[in-house]
Amino acid sequence: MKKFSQLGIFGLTMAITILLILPSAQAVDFKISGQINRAVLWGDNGNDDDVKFVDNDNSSTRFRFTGENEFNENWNVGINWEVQMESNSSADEEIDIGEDNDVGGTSFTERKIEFYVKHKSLGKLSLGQGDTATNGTAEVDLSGTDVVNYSSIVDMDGGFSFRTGDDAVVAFVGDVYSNYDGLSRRDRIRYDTPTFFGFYGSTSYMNGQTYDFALRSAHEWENFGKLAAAFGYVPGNNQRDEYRQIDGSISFLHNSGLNLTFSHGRRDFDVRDSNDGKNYYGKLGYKFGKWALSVDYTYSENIDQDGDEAKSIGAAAVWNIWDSVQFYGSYRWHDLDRDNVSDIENLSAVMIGGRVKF
Amino acid sequence: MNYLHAILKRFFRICLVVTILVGCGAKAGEFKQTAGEMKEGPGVLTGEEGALVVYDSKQGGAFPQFRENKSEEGSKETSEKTGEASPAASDTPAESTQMAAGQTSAETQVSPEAAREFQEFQEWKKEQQAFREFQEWKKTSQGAAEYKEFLEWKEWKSYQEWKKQQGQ
Repeated sequence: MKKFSQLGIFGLTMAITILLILPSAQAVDFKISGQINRAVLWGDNGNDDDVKFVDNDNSSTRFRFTGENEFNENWNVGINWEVQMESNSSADEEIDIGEDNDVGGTSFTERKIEFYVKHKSLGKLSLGQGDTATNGTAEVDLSGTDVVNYSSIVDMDGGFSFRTGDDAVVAFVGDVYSNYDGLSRRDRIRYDTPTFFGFYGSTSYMNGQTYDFALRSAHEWENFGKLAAAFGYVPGNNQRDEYRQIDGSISFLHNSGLNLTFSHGRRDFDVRDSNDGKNYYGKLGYKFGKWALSVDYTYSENIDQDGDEAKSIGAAAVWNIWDSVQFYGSYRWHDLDRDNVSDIENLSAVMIGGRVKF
Repeated sequence: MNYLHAILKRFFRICLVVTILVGCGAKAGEFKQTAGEMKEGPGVLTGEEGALVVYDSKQGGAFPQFRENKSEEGSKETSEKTGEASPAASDTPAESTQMAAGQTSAETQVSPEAAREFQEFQEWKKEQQAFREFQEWKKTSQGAAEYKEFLEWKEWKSYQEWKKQQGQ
């Protein structure tokens, strides 16, 4: 922890110094920002119920340093350093219903530690810990309720477990659902093409000789609405990732506020010869004034074990009371069918909280 | 092999979607990931910027947020002291407000003529800003419905003038 702080102070001092002493640049900026996202989470596993005080893992508490130096009209170089600190993450198994203690050992965890070089017509090259090309490709969402409900439904209550009628643990919520959203954040080199007619492609290469590809798009019609979509492909089957994976998501927001979102992911386990894991997610939402409402449905198959079938229904409301503050509430119901295990109880959870940007 | 076919099929579907989008006259938008990411927009402590700006050369150096607030306060002080109502005071550029703040701190006697000249200067600055915004809007809104409406209004205006001249 001490080492981390020392490194942090050293890195920050270096970054500020470099940015301040570069007079030849056209424009230099260095900024610090962050957010706190805390919630009350209630859960009922069919045998017992409990209230937890958590950090909402849908969009964790964090802060970041960003800086950019515009050397001339074409070339930009920037840094991005983002760390999170979650005290009682809502997705941590240590907060399961019936557990009385808080999650121990709270510390900073890395999200992004990278620099990038950007050229207007050649694209952007990033090096360091950060988003792989496919990260986020299954999570495109224009509903405005993604702070509490989006395709990664385990972020809300992944730390709760399914139980049998005898209160025996069957599996954790976080294990039986997955939106198969690419390769998350890793130490990698990543390239993004410039945007052509609203489309751009990305690829990244990382440790374990693994790599991925992605395509993203965003379009809008003046009198109709907005559409955003992404598609990711992980060839996999290498030292690190013993599977191949495709995923994609699409979200449409009509000018009336009505919106629709779909996400699908599929993992092909060639090596270990088990059934393909699949996930389907759909959401219907409505935005008006300072409010955003949504209902969603998730169906996951063979995620944790062959033959697993998990379903979930959720409803969410987000109130953007001020530009920098939002309050939210969400209800989620889970159902799991597993071969050779009968009598698995349904699970329900309610999350109420707020996110404040500072 | 089947997997490759599945990928190719998806690729062709994407191409089809691209064709449809282009055909439907969609405008390219900016792709922004929101799920899982930090909240966009202003911050409770950092205001409109949404971040503590340690340094920004475009905004004039270190901690521009705090400097701006100071000049706003200075400008407010000036309008109070001169007794002139100046609704645009908080929107005026730092340059002019700093000038006013300088006058206040020196506690010089401001003549009504100087105050009027200062107000005129502020109005001129504001008009300049508005003109720049208009030019920017004109550049970016070519073909938009609002721009067409503006052109029609201009036509109607010149027709009105022509009609007036005919009447004389």
